Amino acid sequence: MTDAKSTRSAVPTLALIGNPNTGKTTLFNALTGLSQQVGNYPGVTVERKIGALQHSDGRSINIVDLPGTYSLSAHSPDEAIAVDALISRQQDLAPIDGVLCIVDAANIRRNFYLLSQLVEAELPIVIALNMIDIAETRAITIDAEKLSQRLGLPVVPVCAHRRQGLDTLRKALENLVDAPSPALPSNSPELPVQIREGVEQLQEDFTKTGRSLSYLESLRTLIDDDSYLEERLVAEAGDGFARQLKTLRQQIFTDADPGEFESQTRYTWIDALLSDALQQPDELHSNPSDRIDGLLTHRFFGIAAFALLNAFVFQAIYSWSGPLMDIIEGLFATLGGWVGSALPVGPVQSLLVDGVLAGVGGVLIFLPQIAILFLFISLLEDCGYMARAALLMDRLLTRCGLSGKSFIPLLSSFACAVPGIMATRTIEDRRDRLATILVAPLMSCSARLPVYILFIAAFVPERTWAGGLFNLQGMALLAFYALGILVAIPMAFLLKKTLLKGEAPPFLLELPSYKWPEPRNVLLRVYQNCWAFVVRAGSIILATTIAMWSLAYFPRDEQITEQFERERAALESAGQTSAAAFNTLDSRMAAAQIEASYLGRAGHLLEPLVRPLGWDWRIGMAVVASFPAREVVISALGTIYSLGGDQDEESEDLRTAMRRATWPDGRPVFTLPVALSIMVFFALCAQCLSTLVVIQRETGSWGWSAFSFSYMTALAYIAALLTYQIGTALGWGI
Amino acid sequence: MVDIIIITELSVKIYLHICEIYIDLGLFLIIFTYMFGMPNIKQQHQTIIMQANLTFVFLNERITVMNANKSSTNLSYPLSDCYPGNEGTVAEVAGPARFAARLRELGLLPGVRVRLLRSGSALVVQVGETRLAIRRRDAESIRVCTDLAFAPKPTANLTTS
Repeated sequence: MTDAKSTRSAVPTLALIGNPNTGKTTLFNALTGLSQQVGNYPGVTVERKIGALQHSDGRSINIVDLPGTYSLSAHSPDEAIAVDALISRQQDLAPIDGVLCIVDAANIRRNFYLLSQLVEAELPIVIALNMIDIAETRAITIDAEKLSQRLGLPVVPVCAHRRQGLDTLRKALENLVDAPSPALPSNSPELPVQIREGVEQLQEDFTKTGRSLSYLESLRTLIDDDSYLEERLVAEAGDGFARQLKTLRQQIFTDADPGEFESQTRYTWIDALLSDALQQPDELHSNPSDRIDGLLTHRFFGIAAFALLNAFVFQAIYSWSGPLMDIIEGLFATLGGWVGSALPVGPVQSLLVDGVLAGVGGVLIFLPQIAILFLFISLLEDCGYMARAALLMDRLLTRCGLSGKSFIPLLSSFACAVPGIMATRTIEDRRDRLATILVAPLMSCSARLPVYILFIAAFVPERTWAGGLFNLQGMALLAFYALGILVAIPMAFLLKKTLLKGEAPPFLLELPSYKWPEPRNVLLRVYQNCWAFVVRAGSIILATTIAMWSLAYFPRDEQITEQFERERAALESAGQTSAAAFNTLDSRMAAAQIEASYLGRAGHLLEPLVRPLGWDWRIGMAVVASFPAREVVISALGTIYSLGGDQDEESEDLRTAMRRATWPDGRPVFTLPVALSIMVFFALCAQCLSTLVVIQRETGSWGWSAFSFSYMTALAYIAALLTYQIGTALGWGI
Repeated sequence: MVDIIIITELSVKIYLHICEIYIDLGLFLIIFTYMFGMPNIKQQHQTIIMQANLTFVFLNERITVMNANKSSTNLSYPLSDCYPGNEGTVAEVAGPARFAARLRELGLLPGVRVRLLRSGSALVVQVGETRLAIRRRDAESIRVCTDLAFAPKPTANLTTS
């Protein structure tokens, strides 16, 4: 222990661990406040969060919020992260100096299962008995003093959402950090001699590789058949180790199931620990949540409530965001005008106004929608409804080969596929998880919304029925959202039948008690997600826009400029004074320049490929340019249509420019089939670099990113081709 | 003799479905009356629903016992055959190894008392303070022992006290 003390980093690190739905996030927020560093895209609680707790003498203590887990058996990626952090094998994470274990006081017996495994980690532990108030209302009384004595660990009753007991908890954590050699648990489940010998044997076998195996790592590897830990150790030590492990398991457990043995041992230990320290009324008593569930998980009313809720959320996203969007749009227009007039005409002004402001501004306009969507998701998550929704949707998702666990990732993907894909970490089955990751990008994310809005407003006729209740444009928008889902269902089904073939895994989900959402948790999550969106707009979208702008701006052909200068001079000498004439001249000049630019040359090479979809080279280039992010297509079209790139989806100018655009023979480029084919393409394509990167990170292979990209692009191309060809054959919009 | 059992079972099952529909209706009426604040009607409906619910649970248990008697020598039967409100003691947790392991971690292991809260394509089962959603197909591998309690037990999963 003295060794460990001397190698301790200046700032001690504690791990916060506990079962899901124990108020872990609330406690974490209460202890660390706003001093959190979050990984770039927070999902539910699947990301790595580190916060600083202020020590009373001014130093700080780092607290790592580990994913919620029921046990350390490391069968899902989430649990693997928790175990790796505890054995100090998690990348980019300082070694752990101690553990803060949060326990739901109202469900202490089950929560202690995790604790029974934690005490084997050879780390000092502080136990926080959370939600002590709820336990009291259910007539559950816990003798914390007695538990503390029996475990040899501090046990602090707290009530995180009311900020009660936090001072005592802080004191306990400070004591842990300050003590030269903090007390380790004095009590742990009695394991048979054979297992303890097996653990030592395993540690010994492993020393050959040059790394020592901790007790916890060795024990978990021995007991958990086919876990992440085993896989990694076999990769490190070779197949010989796998064989040794197998024979060792057979020797120790003969024909008994190690897991069955483990759970019996642990629950016996827990029951002894809790005897006369826990008083509760009846083994199976009802609580108010059961009554609410009688309605919300009801066969008819539950589904009706779910449908109403969804309708309300989508309605709110569209109607509430309007005024906020107008404000942001106005802000960027003012800024653009101000910069445009302050700087002299030239490449710098063009870059700032047409490139940076138009590109980034066009994307930031969608911030309100992101905020509203995440507000609802966080609210529903925090009050406990999401588990019920997953329960209701399980039946439907089972039909397409997935399970109820895929519901939250898929729902989040309507906001953005990146947090959606990260939320799949709670799915234990690898095939299910992969299938969910692969179809998640088909959900119509918020980046597609601008594309839909632009084209629907420009090319879908405005018609209403039933006294304005049904609007053709609104229906078209709904149809494109439905398209993603309709394609995802057979896709998931196909994937599960071919590439990811396997038995449908069992579905097991805890339904937490309902509680009032914690405003702090909800707002913090909304803020974190919005910030991530802003960062994305400021980095990847900004970079693409600048690249796009330079390709369209350079090289400046002097001959073209001279030719138009001559025409201008001719106009002036002819006494022409109307501004319109000069504007037309300017845009003709810009169009000629863009034809000669790098972008224009590449576009003409690309044209044969996109002609069957009804696209001209400009659309083709805009689509290719939007590879890093779908939203880019709008600023790209704006730039290309020689209007300086100052376009967003509400802009009349881009709409009229698109309507005016013609083929060399004079036919209009944009007809209804062309607009539809572009929208269908964007509904199904994988034009999002962040999604492809996150797929690589979550699956550990670029192969799956490449697969997603190719299958979605092929799907999008074929669907767009069919849309255009059928639409033209039927003579739509002509 | 067999015919009589089958006919009785069938008629009881039909009656149960009527009970279910009645409870659904009652639930709707409760919501309705809460919304418009009609305390007298509310009281009446609650009493009716309470009675219907008690009958429901009673008959459920009868059927479960009947099925158990019919299908096997010992009185353990799959959790998927239970009706909402049934209580029992877990006799065996089989099924895929990892699923069984997760159930055990969550406290659902032999000897523990459980209660079914919801049935349908996905069941909800109460284990201590934990409520777990399990698919009907997976619940077939969990066997419980019936209580053989002939007096109906009041359940509160649908009624408001």
